[in-house]
Amino acid sequence: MNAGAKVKLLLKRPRINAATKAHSTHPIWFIVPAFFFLIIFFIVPTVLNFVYSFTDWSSFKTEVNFSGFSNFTQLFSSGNLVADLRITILYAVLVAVFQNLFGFALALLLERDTLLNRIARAAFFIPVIMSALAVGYVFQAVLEPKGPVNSLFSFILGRPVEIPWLYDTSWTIVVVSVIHAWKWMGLAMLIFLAGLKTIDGEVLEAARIDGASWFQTLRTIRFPLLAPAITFNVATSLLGSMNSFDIVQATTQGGPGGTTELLNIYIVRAFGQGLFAQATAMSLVLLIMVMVLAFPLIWSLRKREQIL
Amino acid sequence: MKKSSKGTVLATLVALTMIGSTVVAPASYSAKAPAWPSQTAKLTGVTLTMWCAAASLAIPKSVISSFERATGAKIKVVTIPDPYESPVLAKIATGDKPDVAFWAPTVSGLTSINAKANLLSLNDAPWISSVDPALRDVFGLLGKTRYAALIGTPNLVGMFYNKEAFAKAGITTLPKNFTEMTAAGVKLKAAGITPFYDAAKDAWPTQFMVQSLLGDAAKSGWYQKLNSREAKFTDPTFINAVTTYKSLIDQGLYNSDIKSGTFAAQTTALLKGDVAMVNQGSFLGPALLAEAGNDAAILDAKIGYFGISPTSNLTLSLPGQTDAIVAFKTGNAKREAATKQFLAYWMGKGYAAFLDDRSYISLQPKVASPSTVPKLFIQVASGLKNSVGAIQSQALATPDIHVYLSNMINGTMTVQEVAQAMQTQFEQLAKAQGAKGF
Repeated sequence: MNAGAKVKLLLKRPRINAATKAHSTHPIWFIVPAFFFLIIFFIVPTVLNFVYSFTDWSSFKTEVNFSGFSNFTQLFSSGNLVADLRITILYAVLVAVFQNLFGFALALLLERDTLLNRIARAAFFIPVIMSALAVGYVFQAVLEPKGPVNSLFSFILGRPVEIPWLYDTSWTIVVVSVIHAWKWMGLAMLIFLAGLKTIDGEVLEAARIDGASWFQTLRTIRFPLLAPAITFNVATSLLGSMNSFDIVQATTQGGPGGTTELLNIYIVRAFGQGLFAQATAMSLVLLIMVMVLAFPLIWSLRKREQIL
Repeated sequence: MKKSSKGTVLATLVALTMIGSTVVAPASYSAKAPAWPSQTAKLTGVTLTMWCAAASLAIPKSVISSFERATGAKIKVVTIPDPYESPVLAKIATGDKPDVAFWAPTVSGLTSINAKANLLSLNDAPWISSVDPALRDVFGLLGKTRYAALIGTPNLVGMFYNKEAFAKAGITTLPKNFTEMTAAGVKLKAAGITPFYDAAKDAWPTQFMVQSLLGDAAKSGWYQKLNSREAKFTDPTFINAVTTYKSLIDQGLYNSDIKSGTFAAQTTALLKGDVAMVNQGSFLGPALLAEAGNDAAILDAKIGYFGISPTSNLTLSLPGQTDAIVAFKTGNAKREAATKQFLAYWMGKGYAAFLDDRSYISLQPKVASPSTVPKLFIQVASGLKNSVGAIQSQALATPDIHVYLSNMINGTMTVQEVAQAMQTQFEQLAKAQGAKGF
C-alpha cells in the first residue's frame, strides 16, 4: 500500500458494520470505559461550551442565568469579532501556504537517503517538538528592531537597518505566520517525504526513459501522486492554525494595533476580564467557523484525489 | 437482554453528563467566619496556600518565614502565570482557591473576584485601628465590607523626571500644570533631549498619560457619573484627553520608537537621561533603583517626581495586585482561622521587619519606615495626600484602555474609535456585573 492510500485510510471514516454476529462477540457494554472518557473529556466540555454561550456566566457573580442570544448580538454588533475572524482566516491561509511550501521544498531537497540528509531531516523536525511559546519568545528577541537579524543586515549592507519586523501593521501578520510555518514545516516535510518515497520506481523510470526532465516528472507525475499527502497537510495546517494562540501571544500579543489579534487572543482577553460567557460564545463561533471551512475543504481536496 | 444493556448505557451517559456539569458548577460556601486568633498561636500541621504573581513572589518571603518560625505553620507559595488576574479568575471559576492571594484592593478588582462569595471579611481585623486614619478606608472596601489589606503605600502615578536633563534644558522650576509641562517638553526637545517616553509594545504604560489628563475630571466625580450612566467615554471629557495625548505624540515629543517601546527600556532611558520625563506608577521607583545598582544616593541625585493633571500637581492612586492581600473563604474553618492569623501577624508583629526587608513606606504611624528608603520613594508616597483615584479604583469596570491606546499609536484606531471601544466594553462589563441601569 502506498503512503497516499495510507493517508486516505486515515482520513476515511471507518464504516460501522452492524452485523448481528459482532453483537454477540462484542457486547455493547465493552465500549463503556472508552465512552466514559469520551464523555468526560470531550462531550461534556463541548455541550457545556454550547450551553454557557447562552448564559450570563461571569466572574462577577455566583449564579448563572440563561440570557438567550445576547452574547452573540453583542459580539457581532461591536465588530471586534468579525475583524478578528478575518485576521484568523488570513493567518490560517498564510500558514497553510508557507508551511506546505517549506515542507515540500525540504522534502524534495532531502529526498535521497544519504547520511547528511538523514541528519538534516532530524534537524528540521526539531522545531516541531519544541514548545511553541519558546519558539515565539526566541523569534521575538531575534526580530527586535535592534536585534540580531537587523544587526546582521546592517553588517552585510554596511548601513544601519532597523526593520520593524514585529511592529508593522500590515506585514507583521506575514512574519508571524512564517514563524508558525517554520515551526511546523518539519511535519509537512515528513508527510511529503513519505508520499514521495512510496511512488512506484517503475513509473519514474519509465518517465526517465521517455525523456522527461526532472521538472516534468515532478509536475506531471510526482506532484499529482502526492495528492493524499497534500490533502492531509493542507487540512491540518489550515484548520490547526485557526486554533493558534501560543506563537502569536509570545511574539506580538495580538499587536501592533491589533493587526495580529487572532480570535483565540481575543477570547483570552475576554476571559481575563471575567466575561466567561462571552469568551465561551466566541469559542463556539470559532468552532463553527472551523467546521464551516473544514467540510468543503476536505471534501474538495478528496475530490481531487479521485482523479488518481 | 440486549435492550436492557442499551438502556443501561444510555442511563450511564445521562448520569455522567450530569455529574460532569455539577463538577464544573462553581461551588459556594457559607461557613461562619471564625474569630481573630492570637498572632503567634501554634499552628503545627496547618498548611496554607498563597498565590503570587511573578512580580510579587519576593514580597512575602521574609514575613512568611518568620510566621512559619513563630507558629509552626507551613505556607506554600504558588506562582500564578502572568497576566496574573485572568488565570486567577479562571482558576476560581473552576473551584480552585488559595487561602491567601495578592489582589487589587479596588472596587473593580474586588467586584471581579466576586468578593462577597469568595473572600473573608476583614471588618473586625485587629490592625485596622493602627493604620493612618487618612489612608484607612481609601482602599480594600466593597460597600461596607473590608476584603483586602493594604501592605504598603499603594501604587501612585505621576511624572518621574531626570534632574540632569531638566538642568541641561534650563528648566529650573517644576511644571505646575499640563500646559507648563508641555512647554517644558518643547524646551527639552529643542535641547536635543526626548521629552517623554511611552511603551506601546508593552501597551499598559500608555494609559497613564491619558489618566493624568483625566485627573481633574476624576476629582470632580466624572467616574461616578460614568458609573451611573450620566457620562460616557464618548463625551468630550475623554475625547479631549486622548486627543491631547495624541497631539503630544504627533508633535514628536515622544520617543521615536514608541511603537516598540517597553517598560524596561523606559527605565533605562530615564535614568540615563536620554529621556526627560516618564509618566508611570510608583513601581518605577524600585526598577530605577535596581538600574542604579541599588544605590539610593545615585537615584536621588538623578531622579525626581511631581504629580500632574491639566490644572495642578495631582497624583493618581492606582492600587495594583502587588499592593494588597486578600483571604479566601475555603469552607475549612481551621485554615480560615490560620489565614486570618497570618494576615494579623503580617500587619501586626511582623510589620516592621516586613517593611525593613522590602524598603516599603509604613502605613501605620507607630511603625517607622526603614531608613534605607530612597528620598524619591518618600516624595512619591507624599503624593498620596494630593491624589485622586485612577479609573481602576473608581470606575465599575476598567475597559482595555491600554490595548486601544496602543492601537491608536499604531494607527489602527482613531481617537473616536478608542472612545467608542471604551464605552462599548465598559457597558458590556457593567452589564455582566449586573450594575444598576446597564
